[in-house]
Amino acid sequence: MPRPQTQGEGGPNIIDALLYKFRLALMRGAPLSDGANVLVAVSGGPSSCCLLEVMKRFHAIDPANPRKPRKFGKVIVCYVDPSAVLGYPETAGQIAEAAAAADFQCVTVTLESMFLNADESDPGVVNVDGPSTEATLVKSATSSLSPNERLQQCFQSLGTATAKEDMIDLLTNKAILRAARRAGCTLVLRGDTSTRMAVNTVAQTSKGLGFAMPTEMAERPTWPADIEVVRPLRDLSAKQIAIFNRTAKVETFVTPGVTTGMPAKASIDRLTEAFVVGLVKDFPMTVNTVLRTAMKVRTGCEEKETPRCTFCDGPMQEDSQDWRTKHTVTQLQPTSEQDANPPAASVLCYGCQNLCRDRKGALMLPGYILPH
Amino acid sequence: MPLSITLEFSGGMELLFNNEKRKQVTLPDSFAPGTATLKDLLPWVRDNLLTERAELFMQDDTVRPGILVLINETDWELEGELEYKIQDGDVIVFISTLHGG
Repeated sequence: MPRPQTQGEGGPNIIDALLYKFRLALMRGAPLSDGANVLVAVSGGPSSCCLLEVMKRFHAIDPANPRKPRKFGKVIVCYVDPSAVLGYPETAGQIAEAAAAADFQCVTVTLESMFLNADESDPGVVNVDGPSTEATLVKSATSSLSPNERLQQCFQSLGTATAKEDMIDLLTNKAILRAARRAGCTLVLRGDTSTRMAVNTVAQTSKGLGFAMPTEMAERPTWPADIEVVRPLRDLSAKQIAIFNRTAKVETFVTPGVTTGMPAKASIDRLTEAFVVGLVKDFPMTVNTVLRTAMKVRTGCEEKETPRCTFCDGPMQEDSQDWRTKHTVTQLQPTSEQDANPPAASVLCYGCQNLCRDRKGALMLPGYILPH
Repeated sequence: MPLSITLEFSGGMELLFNNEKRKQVTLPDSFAPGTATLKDLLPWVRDNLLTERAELFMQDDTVRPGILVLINETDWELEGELEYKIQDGDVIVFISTLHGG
């Protein structure tokens, strides 16, 4: 007797279930965004391609009720192209095709564009100088290097795979928000799954970004003030997304990253992922437990008066430098020098300071960090 | 009669298999119909089809955590995982849900 195939029975159920959870999370995250223009951040990976497919279905005109207004205005797909440092320039075209197939406009911004201002004028560059424990930021108003060369130099001077992954993430996040502002979008959708958020929670905490956890975990983050960033796949696991993509025949575009093909301990993110996913095998509630715990954490980072890191826009904990001086050897700098070139600790959050510490030689950062 | 099955790789798994997303294979005679299980198949796939880094595919005698296995579109956890007895014509899918590939 032939074995029963479950695709016919089980297939539509997972699609409907996923759409339902997507809608719920979207309504919770952006209840007041009717008519808003939406930017969907797509990297080509399984979860963001799933997000694109789900948005296509969500935004489609209801055949049973064609006069029913759509929730959103324009939907724009945004791809931040890291090919200058990772290669695979063809991914941009593949995502543009996927966006066109969904009848959405597609915007591709390059990672190196973050080395220019939003209006494409040149903000100069900021060099991280001095000993790693007491780094100072030195602004150069001009640079003969192209944005691509600046990004290459920045990337090559980072010593660890963790720092390289973090730099790509940081510039990508900034580029998405900039693209949203330029396109007039007040809502940004990101494809983070519950699995990814649990991995990020542990990884970010290990990297000294625990202060920002409430912003990362919030269903309706209060920062940035002008754009709502919502993660409508946050109640779905990476496994559910994989099964949805298989059932709904969603094409994904694999772009190998910094640590692809490397051992699991190649970077903090990879090691944390192996740790969390390994735990899930024996303790299936691990992801939910981590997330429910992380959502209860209050650090005060969402207070209006909390200073912001000029590099990543994340919250800065004011006494973080005291903490560092207690457990590291530091060298004191003459006061006069500090006035001209601010110490990294005065304008960067603890996580970005760590990023600067992971450099070998001079590190070139985008000029926007020190606007004046 | 030798068992003939289809293997599929996606979500980045194909990078470990010479970028082939779908492969039809005829298993050697040592895979007897009715007794050969997935526990026998995984090392054979690793030794005969894998082209890159075995440790990213298997951990101990099973697949690495984070790799989803579907047997005829059903999660292998519902099919007995390693104890599942391979049948002729099975479609076995390996999907990586891991970020770093």
